[in-house]
Amino acid sequence: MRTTTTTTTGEPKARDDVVDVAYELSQVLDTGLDKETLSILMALCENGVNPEALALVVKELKRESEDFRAQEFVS
Amino acid sequence: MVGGVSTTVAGARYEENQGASARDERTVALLGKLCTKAHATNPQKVSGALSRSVGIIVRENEGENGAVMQASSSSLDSFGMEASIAASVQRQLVRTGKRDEATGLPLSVKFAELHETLSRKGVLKRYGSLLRLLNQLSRHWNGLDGADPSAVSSASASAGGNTMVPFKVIGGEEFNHPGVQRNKNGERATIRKLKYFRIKERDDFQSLHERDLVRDVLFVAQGIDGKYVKFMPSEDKYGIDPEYVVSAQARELTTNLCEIGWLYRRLQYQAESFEGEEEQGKGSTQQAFFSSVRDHLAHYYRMLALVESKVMASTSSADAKSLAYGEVGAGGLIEREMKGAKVSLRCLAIMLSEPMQQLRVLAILCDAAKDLKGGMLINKLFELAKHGDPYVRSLVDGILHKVCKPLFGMISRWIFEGELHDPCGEFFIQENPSVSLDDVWHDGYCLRTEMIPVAISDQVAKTILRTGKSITFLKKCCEVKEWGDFHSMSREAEKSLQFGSSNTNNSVETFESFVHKVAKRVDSHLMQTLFYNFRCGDHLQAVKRYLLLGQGDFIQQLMDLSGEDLSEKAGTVSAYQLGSTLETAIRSSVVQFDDPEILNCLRVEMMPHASEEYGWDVFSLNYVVRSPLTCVFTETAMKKYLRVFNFLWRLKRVEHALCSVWQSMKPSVQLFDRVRNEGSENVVGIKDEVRRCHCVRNEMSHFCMNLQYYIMFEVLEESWTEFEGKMKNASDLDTLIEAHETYLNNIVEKALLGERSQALIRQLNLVFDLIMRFQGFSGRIQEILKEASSKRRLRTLRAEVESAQGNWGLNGDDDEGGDAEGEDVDCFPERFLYSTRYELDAIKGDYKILVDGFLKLFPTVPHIDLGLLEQKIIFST
Repeated sequence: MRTTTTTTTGEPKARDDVVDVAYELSQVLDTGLDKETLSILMALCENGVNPEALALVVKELKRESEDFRAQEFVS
Repeated sequence: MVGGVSTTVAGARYEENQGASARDERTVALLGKLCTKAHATNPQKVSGALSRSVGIIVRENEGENGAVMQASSSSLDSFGMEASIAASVQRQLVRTGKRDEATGLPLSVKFAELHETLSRKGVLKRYGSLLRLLNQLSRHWNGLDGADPSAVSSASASAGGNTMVPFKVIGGEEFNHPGVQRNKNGERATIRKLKYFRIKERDDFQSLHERDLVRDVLFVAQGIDGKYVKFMPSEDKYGIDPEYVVSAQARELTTNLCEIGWLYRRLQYQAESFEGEEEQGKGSTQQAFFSSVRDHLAHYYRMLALVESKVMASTSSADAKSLAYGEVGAGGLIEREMKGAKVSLRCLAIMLSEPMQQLRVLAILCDAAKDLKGGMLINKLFELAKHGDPYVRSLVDGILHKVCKPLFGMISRWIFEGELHDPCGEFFIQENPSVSLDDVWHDGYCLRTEMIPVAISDQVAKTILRTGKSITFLKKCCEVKEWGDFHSMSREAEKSLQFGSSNTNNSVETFESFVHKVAKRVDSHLMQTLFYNFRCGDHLQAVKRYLLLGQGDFIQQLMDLSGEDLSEKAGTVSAYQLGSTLETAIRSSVVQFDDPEILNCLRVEMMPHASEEYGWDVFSLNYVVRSPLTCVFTETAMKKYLRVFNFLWRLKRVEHALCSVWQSMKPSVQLFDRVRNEGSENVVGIKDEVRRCHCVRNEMSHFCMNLQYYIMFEVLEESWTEFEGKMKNASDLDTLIEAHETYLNNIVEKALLGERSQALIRQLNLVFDLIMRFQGFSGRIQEILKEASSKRRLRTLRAEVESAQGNWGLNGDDDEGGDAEGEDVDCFPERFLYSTRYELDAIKGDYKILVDGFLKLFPTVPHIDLGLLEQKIIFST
């Protein structure tokens, strides 16, 4: 984990707020993301990743884990 | 964990300023985390999932290759994006109608609040991206968990359905087969690939930000391709590069604004292509037009520079603001917009609206004016200047004013100097270079009707034509160097020579009055020159006196002197001989005191003749004038004069013939007196015939006299008086020429020489022929009478001589008587008496028939007043 000492904008509190608000937003939209995943995704977004692609990735991962769970269940 | 996230975000911020590969690494690291999180229960799957995820992302970015990468669609939180995604999400939330379980508020309201908070915070640089991500993942409308990713992506790719309608996602094609792609790209050099979606540092990181569009539009407005907004030749318009994703709203605004670039390009092209063609001679009006277009373009540049400086100022201030944004943040949206002073596309649209309109009008003008020149161009502009919009009107007026300038220059040169400088054929006056000096006035110049500006009426155009023509005429034909001082006038011209559509009436009036003023001066100068220097009036009078037989004694002399020569066959008559006869006639009549200059103009002319014609038929007088007067005495006018002369000459000749009959008959009376005593029947019979001859001659003479009276008094003098009045009042040469033509036509028509009275003139010629026949006939009678009388005298003389010798006797007396009787019979044989009587009867009868026929034809020419003539002729017969 990197530290925030070198950042130029805002303090950690503001970021926490942001993640909170974003989380609330994601709940309103019923995305089914937990806070941690959301924060990773936010970081990815900020990093300039195409949101559509990211959405795909998230869905893919979700599907994979579900498949796996289902297999486990079957076995 | 929260703290960790925040550091991640902060880390991301930090990473922005690091090298691209660092960011790629970071992306991979974050993805790794994501995968770890997702497959927490199944760690052996993590690495596979990671490589697949990277594959997906790389593929997403591959759609936008090369330079495009810099501003790839991954960086979608550009201008308007947030707002439009938010709006779209909001709409969909409203549609679902779900409510928050805790507060009972509609989800849409809650979303709006949260959105507001987040956007105001402004910590997230790519808030729009996040929104899109969440939107994609929302289970409200993206189906249940675990929906087929390809289905979702293709739905989003086609930009249809209820997903983000305003967006177009690039690379949709590849999306259709994500499975294949995934396998293919799966494990390959992921890091290397990732550099494709590496995004440039600094500003462009937020590519297709409104600021970029604004800047690009400004470029486009100067006809330069922007970075994102480029000219697309295939569609002939500017547009945002289709490879960039921009909100529909922004796209539309930009496209609308790009019209200005299109217009500018067009204008520039036209102005340039005009310059290229300049050598071919497009004419001064066209040059003026394009120069004023260029002026307007310069004005457009100034406006553009102003706008640009405003934009620059605002961007720099906006940059400054963004630093201090945290503090201002609480101010709310409206305040932000107010204070931000950031030039948005909308702002730009407002600022560019005036230049745009200007360009639009200019483009219309250019299109309209492309192939026009001179008056046609001006007319077109006039037409376009009639516009309801005062802005357009004033703009077109301004151009019109400039375009009219060269035309006015031409007009003033023409009416002041008589110079026609029009290499490109724009002026409404056209020179006919191949015309001879004599025809300069009539055919030298003409109007190009299509080139006359609407503001100049035909009348004024004619006046302008005449004025310049007068000056040219003065210079060329009259060799006059001065035609009035126009220096003061030309100054005045500067002021009065202008018009536009707005104040057309007024300026056109001043223009017209000005033209008339100049025209009046030039005209009067010309008339003065013609009448005083070239004695036009004297010549007209002289022509009337000589060619229209106004000078009676001269004509009489000429006829007497040339009678003998003219009785010869036409072929044997020498014009030279007749010339000297003319000289003699001049010397022996009052005419000798006339101005020699005028007398020199008189010539004898022999008309082309057939072999059996006599001198009488071909003889004619001509009046030859020199150059400046030829405009009045044109060839056609002279032809008419000659026609009239020939007719009058014939009439005169007939009259002359009748006079000579009279002359020869007078002595014959004495002859009869002498032979009366002899008292033979035959002689008495002859005497009766001679008396009848007198009667016939009288009738004929009466007819001729009255006809002559009609021609001289009712036709010639009347027309002349009328013409004289007009001539004195004629203010310009055209009027004079016209009056002269009317005068001549009048004469020709009234003297029965016109088209409609041909039957009459034919009849009249028959009458004349008959009279000439009569002359011959009476001549023969006189001859025989003379012969008889001389024989008689011879006999008497012989008798006297014999009686004086003293050898007279009965025999002799008887002989003499018998002889006398016998000789009388010889002199006046009975058949001679009968033939004379017969011929006279024939002549008399023919004459009556012909004159009756002539009179009967009068009603066929109702346009000529022949009432008095008819009365007089009938009175006598």
